[in-house]
Amino acid sequence: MIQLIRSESLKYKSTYIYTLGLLGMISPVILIAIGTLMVRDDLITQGLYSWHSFTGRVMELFTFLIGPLITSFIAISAVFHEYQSHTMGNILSTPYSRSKIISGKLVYIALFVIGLYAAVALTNTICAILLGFPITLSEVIDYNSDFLLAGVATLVIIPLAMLLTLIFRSFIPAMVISIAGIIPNLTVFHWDKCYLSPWAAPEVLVLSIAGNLKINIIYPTISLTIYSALFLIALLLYFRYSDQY
Amino acid sequence: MEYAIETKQLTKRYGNFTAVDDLEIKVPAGKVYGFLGKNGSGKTTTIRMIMGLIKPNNGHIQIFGHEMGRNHNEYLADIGAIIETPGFYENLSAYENLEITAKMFKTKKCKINESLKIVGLLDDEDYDVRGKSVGKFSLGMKQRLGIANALIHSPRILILDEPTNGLDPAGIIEMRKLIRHLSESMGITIFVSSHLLSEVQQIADYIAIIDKGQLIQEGTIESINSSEQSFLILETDQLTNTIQIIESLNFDYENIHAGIKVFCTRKDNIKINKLLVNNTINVYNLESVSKTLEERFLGITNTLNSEVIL
Repeated sequence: MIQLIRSESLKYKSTYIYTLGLLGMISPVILIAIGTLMVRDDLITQGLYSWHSFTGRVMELFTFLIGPLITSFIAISAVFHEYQSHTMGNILSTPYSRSKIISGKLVYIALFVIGLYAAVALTNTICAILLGFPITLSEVIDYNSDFLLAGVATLVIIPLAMLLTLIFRSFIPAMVISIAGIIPNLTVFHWDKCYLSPWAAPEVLVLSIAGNLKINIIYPTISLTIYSALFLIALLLYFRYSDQY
Repeated sequence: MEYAIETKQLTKRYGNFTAVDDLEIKVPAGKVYGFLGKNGSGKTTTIRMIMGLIKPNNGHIQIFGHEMGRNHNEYLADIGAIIETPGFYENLSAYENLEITAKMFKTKKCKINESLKIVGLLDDEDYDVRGKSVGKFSLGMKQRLGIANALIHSPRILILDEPTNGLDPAGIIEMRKLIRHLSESMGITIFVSSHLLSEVQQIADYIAIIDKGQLIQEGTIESINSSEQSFLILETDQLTNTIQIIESLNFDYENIHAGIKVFCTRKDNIKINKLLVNNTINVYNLESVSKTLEERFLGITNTLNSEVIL
């Protein structure tokens, strides 16, 4: 399995996956920081605009839209890249079971996505320092934990995005479904059953834990657990038993 | 004889269409095995089943006597393959592509250079394409790199699906030399599929002809060449009388320089000879000419595929 994960890490060198993934993830934070610097610089100095509010805005934009979208994009690209390069047959011609091969890919993407969420958390902290917010260690820990929790919870959509790409053998249907899947995220403050969407459930969980949403965390937790198990099993079974290569 | 690959009742159906039908082949170890058939005859489907890429509906595959299973594919460590077009990550260099394969097979990195040397993509002088992006490779170079990729883990079997497709004549000759070299100097069993008769005839020790998913014939090239008579050459001292006898037996014939060419089976030669002798005709030459592999292949596949180079 380690060999499979290490070989995955070599494949995406010089591709748009790394560059777009990283830029897409951190650019919202940087844009909000620039906007804040231009418009609210005085408010920060006067102590009327806090890092809590800044992080809230980043979190809203990031966990509402950008994070799940880029996570889907990375998962789809990782599978589609194999079809595009005609290398799926090469991988399946190695002495690993299909379950191990797809699991190796899944684990690598999951680690990569968590790494990107960690990069967002770090960028958020750096921006806070540069903007001159008064920050405390407990705030750093709290906010960074929220980003990492969002990252871990968003992993639920990786097997789904991979499965859709395998089924359609194309980038487009999987990406269209992923974009459509983000729509419930926009209704998170208006629809109390929003956690039923696998794309919105991570956000509901993070916002509930952060106290920004009055929903019992048990609901998004159950939703995430069921979806994770369902998508993972569907992906493994499909890849194992289909004539897909 | 030890068999590298053996299939038993191998069948693959897509709906009502049977792509491979009860196929039983035996690939002797250490030899070059030509798998010949016209386009769409089931060659690639067979290879995909051997490689575990698709599931057979029925039948078994054994690799060096061990039964293979699609999700227990440790046997693939013994096989290197190029199926259809060799696939590479075009964003990476030749060396980086091979490094990925080496990692997956847990092979030492030094094997990368060894494989590149075998296929002529790296030599001790100036020629070195290791750092070149695969996206800039010609088709011939990609085919060579595909073989290098398949050789990285020192497989005992090399499966090549139409390895000369798209290559220019010089590339085809080089590929043939490489295949013979791999078999003779390294003892690798090479299973090479092709619709090009000339290609298979020049490199293979054994041959199987497949049509509509069914095995038509399998054996050494010599045994296939000599197994069926194409025509009989007759040279006698009384040509007119000889022709009358042949016409009385309802055989087709053709006049040639010093005699006639009679289209009959090997068994009929006895009957013809007896009649000639009984009619006091002196026979100078009675020569049985076997069907060439080319004639057999065309007879089997019925129509001449325009792509077949004879």
